[in-house]
Amino acid sequence: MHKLTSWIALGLAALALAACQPVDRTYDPAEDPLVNPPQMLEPFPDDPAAVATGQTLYRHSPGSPNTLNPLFYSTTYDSYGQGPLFEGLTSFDADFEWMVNPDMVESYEASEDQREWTFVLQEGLKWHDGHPLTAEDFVFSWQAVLDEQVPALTFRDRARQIESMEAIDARTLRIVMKESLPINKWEVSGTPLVPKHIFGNPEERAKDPTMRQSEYYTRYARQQVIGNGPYKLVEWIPEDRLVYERWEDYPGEKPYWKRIVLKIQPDRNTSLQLFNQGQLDELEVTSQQFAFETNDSRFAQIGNKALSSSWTYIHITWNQKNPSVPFFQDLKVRHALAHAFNMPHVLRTVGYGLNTQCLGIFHPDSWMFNEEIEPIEYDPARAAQLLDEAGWLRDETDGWRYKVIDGQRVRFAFELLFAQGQPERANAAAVFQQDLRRLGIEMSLRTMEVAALFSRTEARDFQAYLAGWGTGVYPDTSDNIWKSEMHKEGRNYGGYSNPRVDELFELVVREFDEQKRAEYFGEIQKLIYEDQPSLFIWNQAATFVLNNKIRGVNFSPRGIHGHYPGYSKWWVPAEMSLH
Amino acid sequence: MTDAPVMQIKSPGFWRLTWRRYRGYRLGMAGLTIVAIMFVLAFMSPLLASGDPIVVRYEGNFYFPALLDTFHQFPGIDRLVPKSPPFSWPGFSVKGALDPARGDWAIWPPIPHGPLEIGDAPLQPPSASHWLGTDEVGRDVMARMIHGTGVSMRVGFISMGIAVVIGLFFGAIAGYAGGWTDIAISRFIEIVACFPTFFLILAILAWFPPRIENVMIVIGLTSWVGIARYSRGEIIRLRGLDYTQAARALGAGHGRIIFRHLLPNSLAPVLISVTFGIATAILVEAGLSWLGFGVQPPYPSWGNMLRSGYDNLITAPHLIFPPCIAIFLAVLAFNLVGDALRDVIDPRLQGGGGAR
Amino acid sequence: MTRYILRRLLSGLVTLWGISLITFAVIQFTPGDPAQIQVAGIQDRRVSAEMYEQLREYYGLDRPLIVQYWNWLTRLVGMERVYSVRLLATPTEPTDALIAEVKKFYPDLPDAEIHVLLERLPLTLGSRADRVWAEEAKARLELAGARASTSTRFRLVLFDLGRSFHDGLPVATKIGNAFWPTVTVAGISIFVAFLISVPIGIYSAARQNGPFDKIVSTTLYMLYSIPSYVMGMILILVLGVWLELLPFRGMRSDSFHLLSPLGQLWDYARHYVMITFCFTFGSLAYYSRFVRQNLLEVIRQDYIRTARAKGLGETKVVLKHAFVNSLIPFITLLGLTFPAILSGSVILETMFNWPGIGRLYFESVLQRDYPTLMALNFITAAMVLGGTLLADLAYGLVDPRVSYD
Repeated sequence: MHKLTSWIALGLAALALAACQPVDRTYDPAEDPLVNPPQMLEPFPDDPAAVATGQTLYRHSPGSPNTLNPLFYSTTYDSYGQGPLFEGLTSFDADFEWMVNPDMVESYEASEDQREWTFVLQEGLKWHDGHPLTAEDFVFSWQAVLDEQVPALTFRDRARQIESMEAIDARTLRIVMKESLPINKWEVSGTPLVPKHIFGNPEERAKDPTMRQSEYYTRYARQQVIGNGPYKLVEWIPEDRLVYERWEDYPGEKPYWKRIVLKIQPDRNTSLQLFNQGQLDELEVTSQQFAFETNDSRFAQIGNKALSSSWTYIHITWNQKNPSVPFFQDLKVRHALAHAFNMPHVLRTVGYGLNTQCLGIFHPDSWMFNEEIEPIEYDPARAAQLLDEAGWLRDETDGWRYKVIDGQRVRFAFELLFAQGQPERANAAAVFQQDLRRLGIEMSLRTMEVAALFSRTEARDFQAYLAGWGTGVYPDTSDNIWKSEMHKEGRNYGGYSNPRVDELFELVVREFDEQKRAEYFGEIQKLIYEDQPSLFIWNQAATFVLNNKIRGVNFSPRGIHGHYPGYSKWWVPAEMSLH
Repeated sequence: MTDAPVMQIKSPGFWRLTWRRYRGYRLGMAGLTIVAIMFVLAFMSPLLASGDPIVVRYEGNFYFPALLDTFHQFPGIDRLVPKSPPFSWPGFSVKGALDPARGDWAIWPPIPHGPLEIGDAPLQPPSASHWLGTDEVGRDVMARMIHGTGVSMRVGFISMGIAVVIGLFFGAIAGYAGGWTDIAISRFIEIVACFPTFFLILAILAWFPPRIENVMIVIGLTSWVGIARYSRGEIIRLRGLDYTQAARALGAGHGRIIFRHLLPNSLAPVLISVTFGIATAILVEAGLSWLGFGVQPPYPSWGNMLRSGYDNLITAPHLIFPPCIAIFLAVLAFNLVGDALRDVIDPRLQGGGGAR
Repeated sequence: MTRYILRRLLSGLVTLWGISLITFAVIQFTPGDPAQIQVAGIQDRRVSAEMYEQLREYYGLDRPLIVQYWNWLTRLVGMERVYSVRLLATPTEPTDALIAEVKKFYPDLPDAEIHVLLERLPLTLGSRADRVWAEEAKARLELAGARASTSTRFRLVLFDLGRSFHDGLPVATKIGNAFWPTVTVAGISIFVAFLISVPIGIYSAARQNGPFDKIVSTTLYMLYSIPSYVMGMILILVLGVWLELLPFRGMRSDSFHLLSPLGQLWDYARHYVMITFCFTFGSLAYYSRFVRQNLLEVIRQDYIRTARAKGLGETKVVLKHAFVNSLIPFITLLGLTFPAILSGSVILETMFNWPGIGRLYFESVLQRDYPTLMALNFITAAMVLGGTLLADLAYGLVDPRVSYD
């Protein structure tokens, strides 16, 4: 017992020693020398002798892909896993500009109305097993996606935008779209590509028309993936890693890295420790890790930080349609809630200044953004005034706000749902909760499993929920969230409805003139921001750490991945070696 | 009432004897002391840490907000003696509103912060104003630790209370009735025992919000099997004993035999498993919180504070120690009590063995 | 004895059936369904409600619950109707079309051998649980000039656990992959715990309430009071990060494929150290107290008194007579702990990135992967039941006084 007491005393003494100065918890990336340093951005040199050869890149993924069969692609982790193995007809560059993939396409031609497209493939294209890759493979893959027996649901809606696809000869592919739309150039290669000589084997297809279940198809989706990309799959150890090796016979331009290892590591803390030990070369970190956990000498020896925007925003969506939720139909209430949100405090203490205030559905860096939008400022007095005007009055005894609706006295109390495992969002919600309490509104917080949250939003069975939307990548898919008709089966969970916004979305999809499209989008953004169907919180920053021997890092609006050239043009100087 | 003397002689004697023997176990007493301290902390938490004063003179009137909070922990009291405005208002804080010129004064708790009170400076190390520092949104960790004591104690005791009620119910019926009832209930107990607890907890928490009440219910619902088995065995043993036969011969009803004779006498072994069960329940809550399914922030529990400590381990290492030490001490205390109880209660272990 | 085992097996089956039913009900009534999760996980959000319906149909989730449960049960244990195609007669000179048709059944066989095959009529070409397939094959054969027939029979299907909704792999494969990492850790952990806690328990019992008993039991209870993941965190920080003594991620190093077989074994061993320790340290208190407890009971039995009265030394009495008899309940305990370790390791397995059962379990719950969950619950329950039965039988082997009637 005495021992125990002395141990406790020792622990308390240690705590007391640690109790010295308050720590400054503000962070300014501009003053951090490790953030986007010039040598990290140094482009790929022309002189081949300047780069080290035979390098391996250890990438990170928090979860395991489900499948490497592109037909059944569904999650981010699938895209991490399939990325090095498959190539498509088109891509986009660091500015999100559309481009044809030079490794695949020799030339292309589009009709005036952008309905008919003809691609001439490069000569000598082949699959990993040496079998030639022809226009037939494209046609086959498109048909496979349309086949009702194949559960390729991710792409079927897109495949239906294509009226016909035919192989004129082995190298010429003709695609006719159903409608003449400006987004067609993105949609022509919106379907995956799989090898016909493997997936189209008639015997195997007869055995397993789903192309997903039999041992044969499982093998080609896991161990023996036949792709057309610059890397071949060497090994997939479930829940541990995927190992890729550069395909030396790749017909296009060969990428820099000899080997790529995709390590699966769910725990955030452990991942950063692995990075510090040199067992990971690239890692996405939280704002807090970026600001405070990567400034010790150990990290400085091995790492750099990459910071950019990611065009993802965090929002709280109010249920405006459900009659059992009587709070949010009123525009004044929604504005009051926006004024009640302590934005400066949240940006400072939750994102540590890395995130920026969200001003609606498009990112300020995008061409759709409307400069005229006036931000709604944090102003509790104004919030209280708006609530009073809307009829939500404070009870003098218990201090909550009430309103008489249909003869019933209703208290302003609602539940905010959000997914678990996201400390930043939970913290923002906690701050908001306290601000609302002061105003006499009770917001209870409910963390849910992602699955349960989906089922609640899909059923429109919620009062308010906090989540994130990816945004601003063209072709824009946010019509799915904001058009009135999408309340029934789309993602307009809150039931937002504005006829002018509906009309604008109809217009923009058919408008070929870029200037006009930008104007329409700008108006959409302004209208939605003014209507406040959701409380727009912050634009999430993309925060990565990278081994400091890596050069040539390039950014797109979505961060450091997912565009051309991405990591295939990262490099290591000749006098160094990563591992 | 022929059987009454038997009870009166046996029952109090047994517990007094137990207590006398228990006092001889120093480790057991140490454990009991820690448990007692935790009880006091839990009960006094609003007096020890609160954003409201204990006594305040404000605009000429006297208020007792923190004192009332202490008693409002018990259901019903808040309707009997409600708080008066403005202290009944949500989010009202008298801090900074006190005006000595008006004659305002206040007696504050030693830690003048509430467990939910969000401050300006997150993740601060321990200091004079925040004894254990602040957490990721600037709440006072000391205040949260103190209020978390009550949460963890409630999780332990109430969940085991539920387990005892269910366990004794099934155990007693199965043991007493025997025959087909016994077979059916035993099968049911077996099914529940084989059913992966963890899965059941996750499934139930997907249905119901993971509030503290539901966490308690879930843990209770999944930990009664041992008690049921134990009490069934005891009751089968007791049923065969002479005094039960005698009671039956004297015409006592089933209910009377079960509640008056069998259950009280099978309580001792159940008490041991309950003591260990409380320790386990505290650990289970911590584990659930670690996975994000326990008591939900902003409400404090040692479990979710432990998780938040892990999330901020590198930035603010001081956050991990308080919940770690608290969980460690609480679990240790209940285990020591249980271990001592086992040695004390089980007569078969007394004075038999080697050197004493 | 045989009757006893039979009775136990029978009642075990009833229990298993009850568990499968409860699991099924719990899964179905838990909010969230796998199709929804998959559709919602799709990134660019251009999936219509129709796609969602198609996915539900693909997984069979649109069917009534009873049918779904029945399908699951009959896949586990049931009969399947199999259709066979038989070739009865061929023209004397088999046509190329016929050869091609037959070749579909034997794609790897050279033509010459197919000719040999065709001389041994009648010949069963193949069977599959698909009537349409069989009839089409028959029609094609007859078109090619042969005489063919189809026949049908029932085949017993056992333990088909279905396919994961999540990645389409057979559930058996998924569980098989995750099984060994967890079982090896659990096995080593129990073995080590046994080696350490049995001597401690014996000594504590022999010197009941002596200084050794008190110090050791307090220490072990202190260890027991540390949650295993907190211990894991400390170990990772101290041994893994600061001292860089041991690896703390997964089962093998990055350079694993370059190592010699001996080096690979060493690499595995180093990865096992920390996670096995985390599984073990907490159970020491439990095991050693358990051994002590039972030993104390046994020591009070008459035959020990007899042994002591006969003048046997204390050590001999405790070790030879008492210990052997106190093994019985310990075996029971092992039978029950092993399955518990299997399912109770979610946090540790995630922390150490260990590809085991606990992690699979947790991820299946989050993904609402119904077939995997059904199988995991079923297998865990079967293991608990099997463990109890084996322990009870072992009881009889160790202690001849136990009777099974």
